[in-house]
Amino acid sequence: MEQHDDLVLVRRCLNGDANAFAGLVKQHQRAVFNVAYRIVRDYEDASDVAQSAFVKAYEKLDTFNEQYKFFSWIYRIAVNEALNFVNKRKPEDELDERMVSNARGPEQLTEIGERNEQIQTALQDLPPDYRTVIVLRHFRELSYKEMAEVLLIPEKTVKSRLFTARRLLKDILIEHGIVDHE
Amino acid sequence: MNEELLLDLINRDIDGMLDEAETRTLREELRRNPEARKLHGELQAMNKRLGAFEDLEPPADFHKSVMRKLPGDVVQRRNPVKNAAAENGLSRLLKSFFSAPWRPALVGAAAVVLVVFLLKPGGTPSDTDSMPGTMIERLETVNAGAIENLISCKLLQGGDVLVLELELLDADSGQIQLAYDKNIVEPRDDVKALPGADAGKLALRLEQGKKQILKFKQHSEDIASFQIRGTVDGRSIDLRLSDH
Repeated sequence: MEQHDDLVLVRRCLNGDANAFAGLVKQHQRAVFNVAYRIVRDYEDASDVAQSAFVKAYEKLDTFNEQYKFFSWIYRIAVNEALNFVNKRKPEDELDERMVSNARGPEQLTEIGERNEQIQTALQDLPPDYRTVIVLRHFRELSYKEMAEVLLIPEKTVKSRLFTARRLLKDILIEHGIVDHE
Repeated sequence: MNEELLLDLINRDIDGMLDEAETRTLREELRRNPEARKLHGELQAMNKRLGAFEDLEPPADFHKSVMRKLPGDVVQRRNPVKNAAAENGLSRLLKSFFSAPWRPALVGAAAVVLVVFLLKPGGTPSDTDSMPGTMIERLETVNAGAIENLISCKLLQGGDVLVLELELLDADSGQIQLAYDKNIVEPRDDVKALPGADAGKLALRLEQGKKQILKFKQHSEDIASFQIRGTVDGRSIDLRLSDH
């Protein structure tokens, strides 16, 4: 039903009804914003990246292939925007951000909040491609097929990349004492 | 069991995608293989940790910010209905008109009348949409844009005259600054703007129900572009239109 609604809005938009795009933004803003946030890990930057993704989607809407789901397409744009942003960000910016994040102090964080913060930091240590598959699978719960559509890679590559990403993340989390050795 | 199959089963088990037979196969393998059991256990523990995250709420004005950033010229490109109707009607009319041998002379005379009409201060009507059957139909919409329900803008062209129409939609009032390249266009004498704007800019106040019609003379073949910035009902707007 959602996909049908999306298609109706896309077609209206392509016929010149710019307000129809507002419906698409409202429908997907939370997911797109969170994908961006988990990759760039800064609230303001994520907002900029996600907004930019929607603007690009609007500009390129006539290239959208109706055989696919709109959310796969907008995720793909958002992921690319976020990865481009991360690649352009200077290494010292990443470091600064991490220091700010760690500087909050334990008294300001609940135990769960602190753990989540550590996991987020660990996620940042993953190379962007691996970070992306973790985000799409664990935070957005996309199927392998959907991830393949978003990332434009074969399903088999999705599985192998996801497995490698999980192993790497697990090792980082064990190293930080967040996950126990079995 | 080969490693590839084992890793695939572990991966899909973490994701809850195994059927009963596959689950049995994996359990059996894990019983036999302590290394695989360790890996499986660690990945499951990590999966549990990752499951504790909740989505963040995007900023409250997120969707409005997006809508404000949408380029107006894309709307125009995608809104062929009105323009196509105007263009098709006009081109059909011109084709049939020019097909008759006696008509070029009449065209010349009409062109002279048109130029005189357009250059005369106040010669264009206050509302170009509501002038049926007059020379003003020679003005063609070349670009248009809108920002959400705040403001719509339309740029029309006829010869070397450009007409910019600004209209508030569901907004009460606005204060804007219209920037243009004075080497390419200049406002006609009858354009009424607020005082105090720099050269190449017009300060304007917009009110609900009052369409602003601004006429410019184009004295260069370069692309004429207009930037409209300001606030409408307290919200920032930024819109660009060009005759390109």
